[in-house]
Amino acid sequence: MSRDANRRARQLIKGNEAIVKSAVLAGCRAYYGYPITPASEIAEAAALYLPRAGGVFLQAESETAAVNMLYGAASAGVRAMSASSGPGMSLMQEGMSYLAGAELPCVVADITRGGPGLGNIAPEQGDYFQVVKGGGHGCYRTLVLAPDSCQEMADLTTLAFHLADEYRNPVVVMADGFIGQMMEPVAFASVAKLPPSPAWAVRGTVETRRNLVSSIQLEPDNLEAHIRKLEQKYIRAEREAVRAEHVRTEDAEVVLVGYGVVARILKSVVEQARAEGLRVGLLRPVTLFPFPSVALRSLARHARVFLTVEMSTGQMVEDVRLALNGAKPVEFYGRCGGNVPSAEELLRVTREVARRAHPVLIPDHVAAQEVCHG
Amino acid sequence: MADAGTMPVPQGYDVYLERSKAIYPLFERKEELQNQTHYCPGCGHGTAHKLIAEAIGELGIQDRAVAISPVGCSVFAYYYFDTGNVQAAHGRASAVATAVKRSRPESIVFSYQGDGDLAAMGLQPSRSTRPTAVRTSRCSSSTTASTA
Repeated sequence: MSRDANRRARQLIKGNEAIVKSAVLAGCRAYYGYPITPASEIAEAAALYLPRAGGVFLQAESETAAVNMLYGAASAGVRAMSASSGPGMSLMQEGMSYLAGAELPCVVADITRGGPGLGNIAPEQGDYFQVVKGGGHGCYRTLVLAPDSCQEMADLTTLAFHLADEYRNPVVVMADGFIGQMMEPVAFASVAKLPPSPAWAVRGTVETRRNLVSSIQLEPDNLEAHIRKLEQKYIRAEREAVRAEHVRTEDAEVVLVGYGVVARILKSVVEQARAEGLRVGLLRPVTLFPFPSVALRSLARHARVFLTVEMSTGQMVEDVRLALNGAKPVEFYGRCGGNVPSAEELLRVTREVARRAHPVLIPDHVAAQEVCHG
Repeated sequence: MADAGTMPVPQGYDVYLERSKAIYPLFERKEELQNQTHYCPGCGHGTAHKLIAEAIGELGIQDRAVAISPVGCSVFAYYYFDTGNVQAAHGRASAVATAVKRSRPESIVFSYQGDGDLAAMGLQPSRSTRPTAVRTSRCSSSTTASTA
């Protein structure tokens, strides 16, 4: 949290509600969505806040319609958002492709739950492939931000609207149901000055009459030029928009990698492992795309092993392995189905991984303890 | 053969001989279509476009009008309508239209969709719009224009 945020009054608020409040403060004036557990409080709060701010709230008949309403609102030059969870995000993927193709800025929050199919309503991180790699068709990416606290639900939502405008691209705030459902004190940003409607928007005015929003390019040369333009934006994002949090990585021999609620648990693991004399650190990707590959690679200089922890059977770990490109071993530990790993569980795994990487890393008294506990 | 100018005008009908200002005087062949055609000879879209453009002209709403074009041949309706233009995914034009209208209440938004785009795939999204008028013109591709 910034020093500035510390000075402001804080409000005890649910992560999901913090997203909406922050969105309205950032100038969001349109919400189109369909409720789904564990994201429903976002629609509920939007129904409360958006009309008060002079904006639009509409419960669409489906997520498919909702994402296309985002397309309409963004075409008209309005800051707009939606939210959903796994099953609804699947329905939105078609629209995400069109939004990216037509270069329309908007924000979508994915409060992830267990899958596949109906799965369950407990927190999971199995949407990573879909959201980060792009579940829609064509050569596009979405920028993805991964909060690990209610404060970040607010801060990263603000950032999401700025990035969406800057890159003219949809931005996803992806948080697991744990972060969406918990309550913490949050300091909100002050009211942002509403940005002027972009010159390219179609507003139904004489000035914008010749404007066109479209994603179709029939001629292959034109489409390739368009795709290359999108590609350059994503390359620029990889250079300029990447964010990660480091916790005691400066001398870490075991580097833990995790995002969302997993990262909070891993912070406890780092503390406990350090208390045992293990040099453990955490790299938490705050942006999942762009992925903090450079930061990871720089840690490979002193790390002996990387341990990726996810609430899935292993999705982000592929990006960790790609980033390290074989420089150091990458191990994986995952829980899924809505099970959230405990700090004790992850500490045990961390010790095992450290031992496998380099037996002398484990101090004798810790090794003895491991034997005692079987 | 009767001269069109001297044909009797049926009661209740007005005859307009001027071209609407809401449609470009010349339809420039786009650079990307030098080796392709767009609408085929005999296609009814031209007639449907002309009727809609005339209605826009009659109502004096050209500057406020936003056309939402569908998927299909009329995906390129923006080549012809000198209005604001947004191109939508297949079956989703009315969802796009309702959000443009709700975002810009002064605008006059219409979606131009065919039978598949509006009546088959698009039937569900069209429920969330509040059509003020639905006009159906029978032409080669059964195009329906609805206003959001």
